Parts: sequence; structure tokens; C-alpha cells
Amino acid sequence: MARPRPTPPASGLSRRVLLAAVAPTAFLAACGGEDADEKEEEREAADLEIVRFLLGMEDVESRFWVQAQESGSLGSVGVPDDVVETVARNEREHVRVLERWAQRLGKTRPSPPSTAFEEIFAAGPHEVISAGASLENLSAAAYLGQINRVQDRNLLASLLAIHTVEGRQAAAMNRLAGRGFSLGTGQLEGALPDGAFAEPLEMATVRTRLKRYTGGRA
Amino acid sequence: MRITRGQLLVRAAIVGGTAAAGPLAARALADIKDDIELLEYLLTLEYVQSGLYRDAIKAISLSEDVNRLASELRDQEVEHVDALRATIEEAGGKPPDRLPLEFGSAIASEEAFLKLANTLEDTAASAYNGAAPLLESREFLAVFASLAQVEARHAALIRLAREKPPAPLAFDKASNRQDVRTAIREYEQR
Repeated sequence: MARPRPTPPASGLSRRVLLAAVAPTAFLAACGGEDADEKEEEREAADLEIVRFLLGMEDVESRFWVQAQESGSLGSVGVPDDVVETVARNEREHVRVLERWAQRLGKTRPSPPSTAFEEIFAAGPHEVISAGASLENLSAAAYLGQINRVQDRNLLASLLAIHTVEGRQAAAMNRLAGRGFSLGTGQLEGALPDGAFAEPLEMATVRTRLKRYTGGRA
Repeated sequence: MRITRGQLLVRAAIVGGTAAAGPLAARALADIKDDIELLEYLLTLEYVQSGLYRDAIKAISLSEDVNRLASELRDQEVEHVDALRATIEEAGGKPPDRLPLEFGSAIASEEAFLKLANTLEDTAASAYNGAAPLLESREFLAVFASLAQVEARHAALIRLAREKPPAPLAFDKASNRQDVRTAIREYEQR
């Protein structure tokens, strides 16, 4: 079922942003006519889908920043080594926690997606930091798109704790890539959203945009 | 440092803990009555944030980059205030009054201002992260998360301006109402 997407907020939307922008999601927990075990299985299946999706995202991010760190090239465009090192470390930690969730919900950890960063790195450090910033924006939007679909409150707390770190990294990388504070609704390229509310993306959109980093594979 | 039961729950959740506490049980631990109460205490934090940027821009001759950043963040915090106030009213509540604010030496220099802004932005991101799982209304959840991400972005930009790591931890903290009170009470004139 497609999740209704929050309307892009505009300045002064106030109440409409909070009340109408997020259409109620049809939670599995609200379904009737099924026994408790079936509902629990459905909730876990829904959470597993989210975890597998976000783990794939984190796998790509982790590999990207490890390669960026190993390239040692970003210092030449003003990106401090310790920032790259910290982001690479954070992404590894995110992978580790999501692996545990995937194993808990689905018994196995899905295979990491293939990655293909050759063209990005061959284009030089400016392209690397730009692509890295876009990847962080994509990740922040991916998490935000899933938050109100999560069934398990503990999983929700985990994803919230990661989600804001992705937001931090997105804002910082945007600035270090020389991008402005805000570049317009839907761009996901500014350090700040165009307006006071962050923008979510649905799974299908994220997968399409992620192909840039996976050699065209979804 | 004393660790609260709420913090323990969150810590357990981050590492894939076991029991799934529902929002009502978790709220009871956090001494929160309903969603309006969550909106209200986050609004008090947004008041202080928007007030800090407003007062600092007036009081300090900020460098060009910091002035531009502070102006952008002030505008977004004002939007958060407006949104939360309207939502509380819509839900039948009464938004808490704005208390007079006095930032004193925290707006005596750019360095001091950025330090306090850093603290408040980190606190805001963690406050939304702490409040979101306590919400009974799922309709507010994605918006709370949206606000959390924006506060986290603010924090990262302020940290960059201070030449501090923008994302020092792999997992952001989840703060409770007492943490927020501790962060802002010094500046509220009661």
C-alpha cells in the first residue's frame, strides 16, 4: 500500500503542516478480523521490509565513505579528514545495528547490494563530495519516509536515533560541498530544507535515485 | 551521572532490545499525560531557540556567514513555533505563554552565542527523538521526525561554524522533558 506523502510544507503553513500534511497511515495494527498471531506476523513482516530497505541504503553509504576515506582526496577540497572518518564510522555502526534488527526479525541478513563508485571517484574530489552529500540527503529522506510505518516502538527509537544523524551528515556534507542553505523544494541538495520541515521520500523513489551508486541496479 | 529509566529503555531499543513498550507505558515512565503535553514542552524549547537567534542577531555584530546562518535558523524556528502553537490550539489545548528571555553573557560574543546555539540545537534534535516514540497519535509521528531532522541539520551547521564534528555520535540521543528544562531554565525569566 502506498503511503500518502506529506505535502511539501511552505512558509506559514503552521497547523496544516502538523495536522493535514501527514495523512493517517493505515497501520496493520488497526486491521480487524485476524487473530493476534497473524497480526504480529504482519507487523514483523512490515518492519522487516523497512529494515532490509534501510540496511541496503546503509550498506551503500558505508562502502562509499570507506572508499572516500581510503582515497584521501577530500582534504584537497576542504573536507576535514576527521569528518570523513567519523561519517564512515557512523555508517558502519548503522549497518551493525540494522543487521541485528534484520536478523531478529527475519533470521538472516540480506546480501549487501552491489556498488559502483568508479565514475564518481574518477571524476575527482569535487564530484566525490557532491555525490556523498546527495547520498546523505537521500538517506535522511529515506528514513523519514519510513518512520510512521514502523510498528515496533523499539525499532522506531533505533531508526529515529539514526535518522537525525543522517540529517546532520547531509547538512554538513552539503555545506562542505559548497551548496547553499536551501536550493528549493524537492531538490534535497540544500543544507536546510526549503521551509522548516524535512522532506521524506518513498521507497521506490529512493531506490531509483540510489542506482547512481549501484551501477544502475535497484 | 544518574541514568533514568527512560534513558535505559531508549538505550536498549537502539541496540535491538527485546520488549516493545507501548506509548502509554513509556509515557507513564516519562510522566507525560497526553500528546498535547508533548507538544507543549517542545514548544517551550522552540520559544527559546527562536528567541536566541532573534536576540543574538540584534546584540552581536556577527560575521557575515554566521549572521546568514543565524537568520536562516531563526526563520525556521519561528515556523516551528507557529506550527506547534496552532496544533495545540486545534487539538483543544492552550499553548504555554512565552516567557521573557534573558541570554546574558551567552549573547556577548559570537563564540558564546554559537556555543549556546549548539547546545540548544543538539537538545532539540534529541528532544524530538525522545518525544516521538511517546506519541499516541501516529498522525504526528512523521512530523515530529521531520522537525527532529531539521533540528539535527541546524545542529550540524552550527557545529561546523564552531569547527566541531557535525555528527559526533553514530546514534543521536533521546532526551526527556527534564533534560529540556535543564537546558533552557537559565534563560527563562519566571
